[in-house]
Amino acid sequence: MHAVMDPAASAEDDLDLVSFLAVSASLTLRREAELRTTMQRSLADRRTQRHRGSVPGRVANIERDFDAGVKHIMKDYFGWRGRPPLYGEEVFNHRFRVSRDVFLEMYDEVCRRPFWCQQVNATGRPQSHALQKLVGAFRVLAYGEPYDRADEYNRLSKSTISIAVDKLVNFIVDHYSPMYLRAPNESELRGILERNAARGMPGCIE
Amino acid sequence: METVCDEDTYVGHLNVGAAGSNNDLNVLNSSPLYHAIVAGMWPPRTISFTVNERTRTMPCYLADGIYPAYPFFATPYPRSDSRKKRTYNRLQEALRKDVERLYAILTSRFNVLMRPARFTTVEKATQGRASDNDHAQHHGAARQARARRSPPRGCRVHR
Repeated sequence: MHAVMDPAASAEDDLDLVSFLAVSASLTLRREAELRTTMQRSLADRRTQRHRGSVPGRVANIERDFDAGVKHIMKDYFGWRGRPPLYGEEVFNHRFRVSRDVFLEMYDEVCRRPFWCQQVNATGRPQSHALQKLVGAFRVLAYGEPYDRADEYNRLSKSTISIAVDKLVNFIVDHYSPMYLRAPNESELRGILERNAARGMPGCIE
Repeated sequence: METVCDEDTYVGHLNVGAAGSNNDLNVLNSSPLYHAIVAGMWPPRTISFTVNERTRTMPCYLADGIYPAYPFFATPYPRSDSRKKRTYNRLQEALRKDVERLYAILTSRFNVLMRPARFTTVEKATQGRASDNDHAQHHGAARQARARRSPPRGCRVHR
């Protein structure tokens, strides 16, 4: 606390001010001490918890430069600043196991959802982009690679990729399985029977 | 993992999540498709077909020798000692190969299926979602491949 002393003030005023400052200082000190002990207690509690968030003494987040990851992905697979993508359709299919159209269709569905969309954290810094998380999750499914394998490329931590894989799997099951993973209807069933009869096994629906 | 697929390896039914220690019969018992068939809800009995001058309404699934002798399973003869049986086994195996092929395709397309699955919650263990997901993605690719193929064959319904 910074008090501005008035040189023209009387001695009585000075005395009042000093006693006021002393009282307020002692109050502030006591409140500070209280605050410190409660903070220490809550930190100690949090250290024993599983999800403890940000705690002093733990390793700080790495500044991964998320933008670099997005830029690389855009350059390689989707085109950047009017230039065509570095890798063509064939390589894309190989790397992601789905075509670019299917990938983009999924991206459009996903990009506005809570986990995927780019968030701004408490310090005002933008977080990772939906594209990065999607690419990272696809790599894990396609290559069976560990979550931190593509850290240098995607610029995402393994915990983010782990969550992304989980969310992607749940999204695909909820969104696509009613359409694709279902029993054949009657006309489809007739078609299956007909083709199997032509192959020598009438009555077989496989 | 229990699957039903056609010759395009298009999967119509999938049941995953059974522990690896279960034998085939226990897996079958946990299958919703099996229970639907036993309860008479599937397949529809409106479609008939004729084999050896006999008209039947109960279509069958091809299965390998370990499945029980139910009318809706066409299993191969264990001892094919006659020409008829050998011919039947040859045709049965040729079609059953479709689903064997599916497993190779799925694992090569989505390598994550080759890795041991780790269930971190009970919910995940009962849902077996990773595999469901790969099938759905596989369908995306299968659907595209089918759309490219021309002309469409027979009375195939494009999904």
